This record gives sequence, structure tokens and C-alpha cells, in this order.
Amino acid sequence: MTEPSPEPVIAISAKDLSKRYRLELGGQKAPHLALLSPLLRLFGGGAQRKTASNEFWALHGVTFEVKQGDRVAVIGRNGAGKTTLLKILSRIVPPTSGEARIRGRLTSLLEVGTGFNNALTGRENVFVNASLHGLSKRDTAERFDQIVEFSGIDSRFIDMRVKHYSSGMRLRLAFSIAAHLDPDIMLLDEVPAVGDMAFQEKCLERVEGMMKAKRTIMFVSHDMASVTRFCERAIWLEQGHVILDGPSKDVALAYSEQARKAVTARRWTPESTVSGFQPSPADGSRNGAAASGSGQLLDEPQWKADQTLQEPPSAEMVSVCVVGSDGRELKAATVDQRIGIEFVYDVLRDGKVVLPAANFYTPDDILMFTAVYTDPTYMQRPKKRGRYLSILWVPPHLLSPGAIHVTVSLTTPVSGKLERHVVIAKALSFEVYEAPFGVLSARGTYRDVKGVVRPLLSWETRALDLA
Amino acid sequence: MVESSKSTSQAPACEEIVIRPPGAFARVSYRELCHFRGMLWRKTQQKIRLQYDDMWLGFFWAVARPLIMVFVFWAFRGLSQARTGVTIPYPLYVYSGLTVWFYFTEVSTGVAKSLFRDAGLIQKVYFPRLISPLSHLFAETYNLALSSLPLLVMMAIYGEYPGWCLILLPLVLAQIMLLGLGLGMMFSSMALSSRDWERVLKFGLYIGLWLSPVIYSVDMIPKKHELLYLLNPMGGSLLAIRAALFGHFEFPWASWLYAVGFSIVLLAVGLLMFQRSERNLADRI
Repeated sequence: MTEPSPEPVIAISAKDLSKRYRLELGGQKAPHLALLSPLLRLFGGGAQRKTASNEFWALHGVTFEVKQGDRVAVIGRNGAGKTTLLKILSRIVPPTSGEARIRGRLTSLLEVGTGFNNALTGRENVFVNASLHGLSKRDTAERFDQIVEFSGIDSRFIDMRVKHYSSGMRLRLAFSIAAHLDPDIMLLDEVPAVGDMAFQEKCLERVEGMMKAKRTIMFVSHDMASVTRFCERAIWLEQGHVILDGPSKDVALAYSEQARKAVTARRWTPESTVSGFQPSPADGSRNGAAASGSGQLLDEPQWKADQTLQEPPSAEMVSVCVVGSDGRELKAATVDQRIGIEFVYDVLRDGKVVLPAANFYTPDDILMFTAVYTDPTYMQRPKKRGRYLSILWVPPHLLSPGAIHVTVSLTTPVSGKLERHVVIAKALSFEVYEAPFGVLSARGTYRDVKGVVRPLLSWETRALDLA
Repeated sequence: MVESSKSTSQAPACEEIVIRPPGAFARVSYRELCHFRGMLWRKTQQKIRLQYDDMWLGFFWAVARPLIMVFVFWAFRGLSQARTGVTIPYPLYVYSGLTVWFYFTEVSTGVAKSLFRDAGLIQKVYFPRLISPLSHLFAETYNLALSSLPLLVMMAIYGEYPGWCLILLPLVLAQIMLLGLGLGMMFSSMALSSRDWERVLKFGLYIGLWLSPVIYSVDMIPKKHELLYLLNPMGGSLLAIRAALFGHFEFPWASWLYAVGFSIVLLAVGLLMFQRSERNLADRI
């Protein structure tokens, strides 16, 4: 790497990468077909039935770019496609469609100690292992002393067979080799934590050294702490799709929130009458900062410092809940369902106009729309002190499939501005799924349509001139 | 599957790797193979070193099998007065045949299994997959060189010397090498869908030993069946080996050239099958 160039160089670019697996169910093929299939495939046949049911997309249209020197984490649940992505980038498996470009010498470390042979000596293993990663004999010889010194293995042991090593020694030697490959781009499956505390410290120092040297690093991790520690950016994969791609802190928070599953109902105040209610900091009804442990973690972009809360509040949120047409609580909805957001709130002072409102966000944190109270006659009417219930109905065929987050608030309109009593960011989140098979939806017969919302609109076609 | 292109920029990291879905006919990138020659060399070395690991009698084991079999066949012939049609000292004939035959079988069965043997690596590291069969081929070639040392000694003892055809020996050996490699690669890709194919290959080679002029001369075959007999490409190869090693034989041009053609076709088919199965190798192993 030379001096930093003014415009950032793209180290990895992935365009619409997809990977499909066919589920080959063992023992389902007739034995004679199984035996002949390689020959049949050679002549273009093979006659493998391409039904959608035995296909599985491990990656689906994944697009991103990584600049030189970026440190990117890939997070997501098991089976989200993280390792598949790494394997495609390290050329172990080919993609089914799409394209990826890699600029620079790439080393992927899907496992520490791949290719170590017990019957070879430590020295031989260093050379074999380095050659696996494309390092020449001369380069390896140059680094050999450093590698051994870094591993902390006594030089008396280096010409001993690896089978006599302790497991810690093996891993340390394997990691040292990896740490000295000095690639431009490094792909890691989990940041390796091997050896004792002292060695782990050394490993972390080495990783940090690579960062200072502006090496591009991409790694898969389940440990949000190391994601935020090592990476400035994170890509969240879910069922082969990129759900969120952004600053690692935000993505990690959103991910851990999601991992705690959808929140379709929340209560704040204890069972209390309005008169008997004592606001306490612990119940966190003001802005949900400590609300019932699940916490509100993301700062809303719209929520600026100048938009302070009204002090003291004239209203308290009691509960919010996602409900279906029948008024019952809803855990998940399909796009063709009417979805209600049910607010229960207390008005603490007589004669106050208190109106609920909600902001709807896409999984990537884009504000889809804001729903405010619009009935002019009701809007003007001051409320009496007491408990109220309002339901906001979202019509069917408006939301796109995915995780929807809802921020709820209680406000009072005052001369064109809003007096805010309660704002609870991402109070609710629920999944919207594709309409069941056979139900008309805005997707039509397409596999996927993009867009923040997905309204079902009407079309009209007339023939103007027929040949 | 993968192409590399050198960009014109002067930056050290100017290599761009393009990853695309594999086409129907992936090309073998010799440039890349060349880049990984260090690994090929290391893997070959490792195989050679490890096959007689923890043994004191490494060299002995390398030559023991043909030597013992030569003794058995020699004793058998002497005791039974069986006709073999061999005109040169029988041990020389059998030993040269057996070492070459064993080389051929070890190459093809080993290459057929090479993908499974390297499965752990293939699933974790990128390298040109051709390195797996090639390193096996080279390690076996080293073994062949070892086991031909006793042959030289025996030739000196019996006073049998090669004629001018000796210059053809490297070509004949190369042809056998390619035949074994092609056959092995074909079976290695077939073994991915069912490992039955490894057994099929082993069994076929066992029968092949008796259908090839290894321990008897081709003169034992009735003239009218000779053409049919020499459809087996190893027939021509073994005749050519004997002609190259011992001055007594005519070089069998027709049957050897047929074997060369056969080897080239088989290698092409084997490479093609290997390339096609290489695409999804890590998913299928």
C-alpha cells in the first residue's frame, strides 16, 4: 500500500450476489440415476427437477462495497448467509448469480489451523500453511522467525512434530502464521480468540496493528462487543438479504433489539388510577429510556434536541399494542391485513388537548410515514382527566413486508407547533409478511418488488389503436 | 469461474479478482496454477514424506510389492512350467511390467480419491483444485523412480541393455501418466455423486492387470484376437515400455500411438468432468 490516495479505492464490491442451494434429499434418487448422474450432467442432461420447494437461497441479491481500509462486520442469525458470503468472496464456492470484484491480495481465515498436519514438524507446517495461502517460500522464510517468536513457542519445539504439541501451542502457531500473512484484505469467520490471556492480548494488538496499516478487514461475528470494537461498519444479513448496512453501533443495536424478537405490546404504568399514579423514574413513561428493560436504544433522527418534552407532562402512556381487525393482539401480520395500533393513555390535567401519533419505520430505519390525528372536530376538543383508548388503523396493502418499527407519542398542538408529552422511540416492532398464496397483493406475480411502502393501486388500460 | 486481470495501475495491489457464476466450460488458469506452484511443490513433498511416516523401511516398502510379486510369479512359472511367451529373463519382464502397472493404478485410484482426501482444505481455503490430483501424481512419480532402481540392478545382473528406443521412454512414461491422471479425474468427479465409483475403478484395475501384458507376453494372445486385446490402451503402453527398456523388442508404433490418442481423449474428458464438478465442489464434498 502506497500513500493514501485522495479518492477511496474499492477493495471489495459485490453486485447482486445470490447463492442457491438445491436440497438433495439423501436416498431419494434411484441408485442407478445417482451413479449415472455425473455422466448425464456431462452431456448437459441430468434432468434435475427444478422445483421451488427443494431450492433454498442462502444469499439473495446482496450488494455492497467495501473501501480499502474499511473494517466491516457481517452479523445475523445462524443460517442468515454470513458464512456463504465469506465463502463466495474467498472463492471457495461460486455464486449462483451476480458478481463480486476484489482488488488486492486476499486471505480468508474461515478456521484457524486448516491444513495443519500432525505428522509434520512445526517448521514444516509453517511452510505448508503459508503456501496454502499463496505465500512464497522466500517470503515465508523471511517471516519465519517472527512467526515463531509471536507464537511464543520455544525454539526447541519448532522442529518437533505437531502431534506432540499441546492444543494451545498448535492454535498459537496457526494463528501466528495467519497473523503474518500480511494480506491487503482479510476475511475472518469470528475473530479468533486462542491461547491464554496474554496471547489473546497479543492477537488483538496484531489485529489493531493491521487496522492502523489500513488493511481491509471483513469478519463474521456473533459477538456484538467485538463488532463495535473492531468495525466502523456492519452489514446485517437475514435470510440472505441485507437488512441493514451502516455504522456498526447502530446496526449492532438494531440487531440485538431484533434478536429480542418483535415487541407487539408494551405497558408502562402500574395498574393504577389516574389520581393514584405517581410518576417514578423507573417506569420511564416519559421517553421510554428505561422502559421495562427492553429499552429504547436508537435515537430517532427526527428527534432533535430542540424538541424537548413538555415539563411537567400533561399525559402518560399506559400501553401500546398492535391489534388486528378483531381487536385482539397481533404478533405478526400479512400485507393484506388491517393493522391497528392501540394506544392507552392517561390525561393528567383537565382541559388539555392530547392526541396520539405514530411514526412508521422500515427495517433500515427509513421513516415511511407519520400518522397524526386528523379529525378536526375531535382534535380541538379538550379532554377530561382520565384514561383513554385510541386505535390507529393502517389499511391493508400499505406496508412492505419486513420488520416495521413504530414510534409512538402523545402531543398537544399549540399554534402550529407540537407540545410533546411522551415520545417512545421504536416502542413497537412487528413483522409484516407476504400475503398468503392466492391473495391478490401489490407484488402481483413478481418475486419481489422494492419500495418503502407497497400500496395496492388500480390500473386502467384501454386499447387506443389496434392493428 | 474466476478470472484474474492485471490492471494497468502501478499500485502494488493491482490484481483484480472477478468472481462470477461458473460458465459451462471453465478454463484452467495456468497462470494461477503457476502462482500456486509453491503449494503444489509443498503438497507433493508432504505426501512423499508422510507415506512412509514413522517407518524405518521406507525404501523397502516402496519396492517390496513388485519384488515379492516377481518372486511369486517367477516361482510359479518355474514350478508349473507355464508358458508365458517371454523371450527376455522373466524377472526383468515381470518387474518392469509390475512397477509400471502399479504406478498406473496408484495414480488413477489416488487421483480419484484426492478430492475427498483434501476435503477439509477445499472447504476452507481457495486454491486451484487441480493441485490435489497433480500433487498426488507427482508423489507417485517419485515412487516410480524409487522402484525402478532395483530394475537397473537387475538389468545389469542379467546383462540386458536398452536399444535406441530408450529415448522414447520419457514419452511413454508421460503417456501413462496422462492416462492415469485422466482416468482418475474422471472417477474423482463421478465419486462425488457416489463413492461406489471408487470401488468400480479398483475392481476394474484389478481385472485390468490380467488383461494387460504384465506377467505374460502379448504373443500368448491368439492373433485373431490381438486387435481386440490391444483396445486396452495399457497394452500398447506396456509393449512400448518393454521396447524402450530392452533392445529385444520392436517398438509397437501402432498400438502405442493408439494409446497416446486414447490418453489424450481420456484426459480431456477427465479434465472437463473435473472442471464441471469443481464448480460446486465445496458444496458437495
